[in-house]
Amino acid sequence: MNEDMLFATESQLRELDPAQVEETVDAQKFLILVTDDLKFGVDAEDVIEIITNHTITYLPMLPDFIRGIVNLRGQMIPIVDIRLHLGKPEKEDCLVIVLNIGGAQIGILVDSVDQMIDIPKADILPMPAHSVQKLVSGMCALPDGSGTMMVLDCGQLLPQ
Amino acid sequence: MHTIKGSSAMMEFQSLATIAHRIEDLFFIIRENTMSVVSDENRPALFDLVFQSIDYFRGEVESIEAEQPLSGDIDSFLSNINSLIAKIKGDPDGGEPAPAPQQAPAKGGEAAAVNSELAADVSGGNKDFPHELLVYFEEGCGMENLRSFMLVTGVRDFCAESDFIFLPNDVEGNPSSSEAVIENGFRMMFRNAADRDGAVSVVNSSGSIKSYQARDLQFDEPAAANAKPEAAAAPAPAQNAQHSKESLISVNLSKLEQLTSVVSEIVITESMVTASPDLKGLNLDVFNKSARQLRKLTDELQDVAMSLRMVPVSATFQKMNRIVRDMSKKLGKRAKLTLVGEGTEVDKTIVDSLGDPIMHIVRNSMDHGLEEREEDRVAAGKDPVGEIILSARDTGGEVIIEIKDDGAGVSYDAVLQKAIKKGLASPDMDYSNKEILNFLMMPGFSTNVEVTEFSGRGVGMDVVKSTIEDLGGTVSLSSEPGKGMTTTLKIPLTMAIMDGMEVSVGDSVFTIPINNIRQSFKVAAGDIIHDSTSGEMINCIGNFYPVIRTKELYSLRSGIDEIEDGILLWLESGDYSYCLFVDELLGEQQVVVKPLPSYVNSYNIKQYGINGCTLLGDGSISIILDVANLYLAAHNT
Repeated sequence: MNEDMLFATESQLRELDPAQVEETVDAQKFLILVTDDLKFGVDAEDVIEIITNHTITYLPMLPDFIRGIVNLRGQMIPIVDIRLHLGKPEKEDCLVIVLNIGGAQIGILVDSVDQMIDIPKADILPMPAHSVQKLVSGMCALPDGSGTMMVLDCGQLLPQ
Repeated sequence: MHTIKGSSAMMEFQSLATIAHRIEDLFFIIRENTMSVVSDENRPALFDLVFQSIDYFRGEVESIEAEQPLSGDIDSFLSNINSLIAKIKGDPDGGEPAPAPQQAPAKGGEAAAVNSELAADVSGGNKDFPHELLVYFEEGCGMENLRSFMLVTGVRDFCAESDFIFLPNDVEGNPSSSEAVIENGFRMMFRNAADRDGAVSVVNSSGSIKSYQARDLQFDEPAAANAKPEAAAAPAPAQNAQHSKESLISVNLSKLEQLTSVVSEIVITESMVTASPDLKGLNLDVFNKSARQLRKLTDELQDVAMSLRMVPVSATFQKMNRIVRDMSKKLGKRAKLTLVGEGTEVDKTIVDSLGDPIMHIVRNSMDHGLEEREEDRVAAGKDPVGEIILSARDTGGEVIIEIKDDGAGVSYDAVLQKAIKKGLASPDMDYSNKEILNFLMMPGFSTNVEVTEFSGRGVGMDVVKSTIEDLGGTVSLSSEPGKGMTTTLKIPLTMAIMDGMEVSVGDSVFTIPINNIRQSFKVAAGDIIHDSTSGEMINCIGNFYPVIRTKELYSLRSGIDEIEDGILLWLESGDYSYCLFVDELLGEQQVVVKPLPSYVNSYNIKQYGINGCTLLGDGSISIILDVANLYLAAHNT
């Protein structure tokens, strides 16, 4: 009986608002993170976890934006500082988001995490043709009006 | 063979099926008429062919697995088989007065006559051949006599015919001997214990063996033993050692690796828990007791997990028998291979990558090392049969594998001339013999004028060198003119664990392999000698060595600059020797080597001597340095 009711509500919902169903099918979940007052979105599917208390071990002879490696339960994870990658000064007191990019685990260092949000794929617009913004594959205005999200192109973080 | 034929025909691998069919024909003839149908002169050809076909099938199966097209060219191979079949068939009808089947008993009788002299008594053993090996085959495996004969052929590879006897001695020609083998086992008796041990490994590698038993007969009074053979048998069981075939399961290597890494995590976590700062000042008797128990168990667990990965090198070594045999046929040089220390155990991944380098070196020895003509060997006072000794020994931290031939040795002049011609050496320079030998391991070097089927393409030794170095080992050559050449491979026992010295530079902690450290010492600023290019050197025991400052090399943000405040480590790896300046020694520790993430490896930091990392007891990361690459990096910057 309980089940019946659940089903009823769901189908009722669908009948009421078919547009919303379409939206959820086509939407992508993004985790919004803030770095240097810019909002970046990463595909929530790629996010493994967010770690706050970490000790980064510096590795010499690497490009500046690789801050080093951290030990995540016995696994060594390289840490890329998005600020440095974008040519901004580095900042203390950051948190690490561990991403799975093409099978490799990479941590990115960001200022803070904002929210999780569903965004319809159709709303993501390509970058303007002459933009020199690095690491970004598209952008989109946030539905709550709090600003613009830039879609982080994780593939660009990998060494070319 | 029949199964291969059927399956490959079913899968429409036509060439495989055809070959399998012809070989089946060949085996059929032999089965029908017993082994004696193949006359002595044809036997080597038969064995060659069987080996060839095994290689052929193996190769084809590999290409099927790799989804490559099969090599269609089987005509020459087929005609080989056909001609051998024709030869074998031809022999009995060839008008020989005594047909083959009748030859067999005659031969058997002859052999028996010889053997019966030696084997005074079957049950009592023989005083000339005190080292026995009794082999029982699995019940119902069939053709016990031929299986026994296969063992004998295996043993003949390394043991001279006069050094061992076997019973029943007519297994080769007499099918009815299989009953005796089933009943009493197949008994081999050796003059030397070493040959017997070799035979044990032959037995181990062959199939359908139920059990074997090795025993050494002791003859206290040879005269009495002769008179009363029964009495001699009595003391023998004292040394009996019953070996049963071990039961094994095969495990996926990745699972094993997972296990090893989890175990090493446990060991580290255990020390993190028991040494936790939260426990400071607390009086915890029960906890401490349990913690000690836990430590004992984790240590044991670690030992077991490490030993799981260790396998003996014997399988790799045994393969070389085949190479030497094939090459001595092809090159017309007689040679024997002596294996020493096959039981030495090495990490599985290392064993897997050792096969090719060893094969290269053995081929080089056969091809270039041993003299072309036996007369030269006799003239030099050597046995006309060349010898290659392949030995392995465990020195605790590393395994040393030596490949030694008793050939002519390296001609330094020829090598130097060649190196100059190839532009590897400069004609005006004087080179030491050691430097000349090192030319052999440079890319694109090959001394033999002709490129043979086996070696001489000049890709050999440099590939060997880089493979061994990838394993963390070193290759060194030594040669004595007229006496032969020795190639020594030094390989770490396992790549997973090593003894390291923890050093600190500023905020960073580095691990340096203990094996590379010769000495550590403090110096005064006055001891440092400056050269014109702002390089620094120091005098250690009569020699000058460059000083490398870790802080400057890696452009670290913090660290000590005053040479008096830090400490110098005298490091050595291969031919590089230098002093590394660090802030402080933190202590010696066994560390579990972890590879760096591939992401950072793609920035080539291995070239700068950063080899891997390891977790310290408190969970922090230490960087493992590669002493040789660090020196090269310092020199190139």
